[in-house]
Amino acid sequence: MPAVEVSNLSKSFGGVQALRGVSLSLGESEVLGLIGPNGSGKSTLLNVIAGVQKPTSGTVKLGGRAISGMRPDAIVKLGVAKTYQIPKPFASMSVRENVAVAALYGRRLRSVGPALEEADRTLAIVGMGDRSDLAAGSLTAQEKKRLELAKAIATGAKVLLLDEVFAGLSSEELRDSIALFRKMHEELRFSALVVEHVMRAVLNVSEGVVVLEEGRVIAAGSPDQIVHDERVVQAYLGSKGVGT
Amino acid sequence: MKGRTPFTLYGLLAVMAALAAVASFSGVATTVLLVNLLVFAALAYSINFITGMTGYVSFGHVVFMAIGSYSLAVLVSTYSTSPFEGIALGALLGGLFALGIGAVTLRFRGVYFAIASLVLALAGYNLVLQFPQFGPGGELIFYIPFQPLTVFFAIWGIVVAEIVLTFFVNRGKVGLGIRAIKDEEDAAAAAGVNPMKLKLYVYMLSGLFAGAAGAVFAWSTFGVNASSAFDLTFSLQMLAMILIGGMGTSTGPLLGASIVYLLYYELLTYPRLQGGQFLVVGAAVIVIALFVPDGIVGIIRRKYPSLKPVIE
Repeated sequence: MPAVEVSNLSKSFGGVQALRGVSLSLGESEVLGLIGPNGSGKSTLLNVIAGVQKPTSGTVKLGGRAISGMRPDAIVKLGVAKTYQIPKPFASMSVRENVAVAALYGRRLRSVGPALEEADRTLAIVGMGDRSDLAAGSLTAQEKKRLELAKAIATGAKVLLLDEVFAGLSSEELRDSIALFRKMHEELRFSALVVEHVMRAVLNVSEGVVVLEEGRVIAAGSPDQIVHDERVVQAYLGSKGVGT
Repeated sequence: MKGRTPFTLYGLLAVMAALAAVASFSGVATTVLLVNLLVFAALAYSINFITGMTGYVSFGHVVFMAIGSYSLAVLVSTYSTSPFEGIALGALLGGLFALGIGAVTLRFRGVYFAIASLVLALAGYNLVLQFPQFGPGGELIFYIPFQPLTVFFAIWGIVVAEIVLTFFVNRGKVGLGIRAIKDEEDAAAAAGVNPMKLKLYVYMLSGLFAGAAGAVFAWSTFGVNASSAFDLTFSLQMLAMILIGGMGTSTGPLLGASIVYLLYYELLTYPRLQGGQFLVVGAAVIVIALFVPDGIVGIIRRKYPSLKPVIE
């Protein structure tokens, strides 16, 4: 059974159709890249799966159980966590406390002590152990992105919805982040839906790629198939070509 | 967090013990002053649960105080019960109304919640005037023996309960979730926090204690009347107290309540200064809001980092 099964999902905002009957399935421990031009519905799709927005029609199933329409915090507790494209740290709290909130509530722990221990473990995994006592508001943009990832993992989620965690990094930072992601995936074996503009990241971390355009899936396949797909090259990569 | 010595709690309880000793062994005038001071402190801790902890500004918080005042006044004047039953009813109704009102208004964010709570206070005032049960013109007066020390220990017990609860809520699971909500409500939900549930919980505590404090206030003044029970000045004073003392902290409300109370009612009471208190407290609030958002507790923590574990 796939970890997440999205069937015929539609979402409209007033007259704007952001998603038009999207279907896809994400296997256990699979990493699926989600690409498409701006406004193609990638972030909306993540938001609907995470419960931040309610679908107009269609269903999302998690391990066979329908979760569409549930509250975001309830969906997190069932094991689906989303990162924000623009990081939203709890600015007045330390990095450690930020992650502890996710562990405490995402994993339904009883008290703060074990949550802080879980936060320390998670921060070590994402390589932020030395940052744990800093105020989250004082982190650099890259560190805030990594903190988003740490919070998502700390919830104990088996399914991660990652919204542009690789964006805005220098070439070197990107290489490190990709290596880190692969290491984490080997260790934790989560499934992930990765929205990404940075093609190098998508091609390096995903086993499969789904391409959205104007709220529709226009292609799906292995990274290799996708970069050679005529429609994708036209619709999305355009004259820019591969490798940006 | 876990296993830290609760210095703050010990310190605050020591101060409360000292106040109890002073009230017990000094004259009536001092006891009455301390009753008034602790009514303010009880209100400050009450609004601290919602506004201090979550950042949701309860502008019409006086409505819960009024619910408590009328609960006691109606029970004592009409049904001749003991004031303690009035306090119990005031707390119960305060908590229940907070749950009912909050279920709707806590869905609004920021200024919308503040305005909704203000509208409720205005509505409450007009509603009370419509019912003869609340007396002509919303005024109820009762004649019971003057027992300042009994009143003192009633409000003292309420404040002690509030201090202990504030302290443990802040340190525990709920406190961490609430702080996350205050910083970034959507991100808190994305971390698994159910914001509505936690906000309702602290709002309920807030309404409950404001009800209890309002009941004691009616007891100490032998009655209630609509224009003072719903006086928005109280709401503003409550906000000023936690702003000056330190929003969301365990120490701030007692500190802020003492300062605001003494400024308003003891120090700045010369006839020539009529209204001058508003200016002084208003100026203090503006300065603090601009420069030290966490109030006096924040100043102390920043100047003396070593005192951090002592003052929460």
